[in-house]
Amino acid sequence: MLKLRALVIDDSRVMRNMVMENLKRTGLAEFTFTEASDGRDALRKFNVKKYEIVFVDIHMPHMDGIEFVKNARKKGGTANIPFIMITSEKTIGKMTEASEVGANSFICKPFTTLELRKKLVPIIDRLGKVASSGFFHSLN
Amino acid sequence: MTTMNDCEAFSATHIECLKKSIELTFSFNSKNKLQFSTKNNDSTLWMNEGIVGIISLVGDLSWSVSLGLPKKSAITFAKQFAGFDINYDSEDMDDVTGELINVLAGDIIAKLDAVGTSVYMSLPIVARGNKMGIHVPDRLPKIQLHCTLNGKQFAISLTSGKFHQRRKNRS
Repeated sequence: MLKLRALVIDDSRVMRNMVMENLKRTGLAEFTFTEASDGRDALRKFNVKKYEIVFVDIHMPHMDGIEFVKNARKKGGTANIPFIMITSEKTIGKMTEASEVGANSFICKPFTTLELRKKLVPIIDRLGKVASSGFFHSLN
Repeated sequence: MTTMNDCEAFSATHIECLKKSIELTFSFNSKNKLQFSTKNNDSTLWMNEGIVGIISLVGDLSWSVSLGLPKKSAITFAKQFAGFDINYDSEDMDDVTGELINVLAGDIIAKLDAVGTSVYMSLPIVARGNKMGIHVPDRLPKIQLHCTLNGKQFAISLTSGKFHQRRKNRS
């Protein structure tokens, strides 16, 4: 099974736990998690450790999810890292804004494991192909 | 049946947006249908031991959305939303209440956006206590919805920032 280091960013600890529990239940990969409570905290962690996938809330204090993605994408070598927005803000404007700064996909709160799984299948599939190409190995 | 106070201040579309958003947020993971009920014309929504989440929407309109969860309902809806038990006296209960009002407000915004009304939301505020009242000034237009799902009750209060004009000629 594909092993993925995931960064889970949300100011709500309950939401972070929900995301992590649901990700484990999808059975799509073997995840190891790092948690961050806002964009600023996440950016610090993102800059010192390599992650294969990032789950990020939009509506957060200090630095919101869009600002985080914008800053994180400035770091080199992030093109193959999917940034998945997990959000209650589902207006076209917000989604467009997030896409423009580099978000790859959106999962709206509240969500079930099945909904999460459906959304992640193509993303994890692509990550599997990237992994087999040796890209993740080169990150270590 | 839905009962409202000052409902003329809110369009039918607004009220429909609110009710659909409440259903999406609270009927999540439940097979039963949510019931809207009760009449409350007071400007204060009273609650015994419970927890309250408040969020502001600003932009084309100015609203405040409040969620009042009595203790037993808070425990039930927290588990339904999160998928695991959450102790009422824990910080996680404040957290999940903030998340519930956040999801509710986010869905209201999306529905308003779809009908051409653009608004942004604040971060949520959560308070808890005994014999709590959510009070809004008498002259502010408001809707108070009392909701029941699986025998558990909660209340949603929607307040508009626009004051009602006082009539000049009062008899």
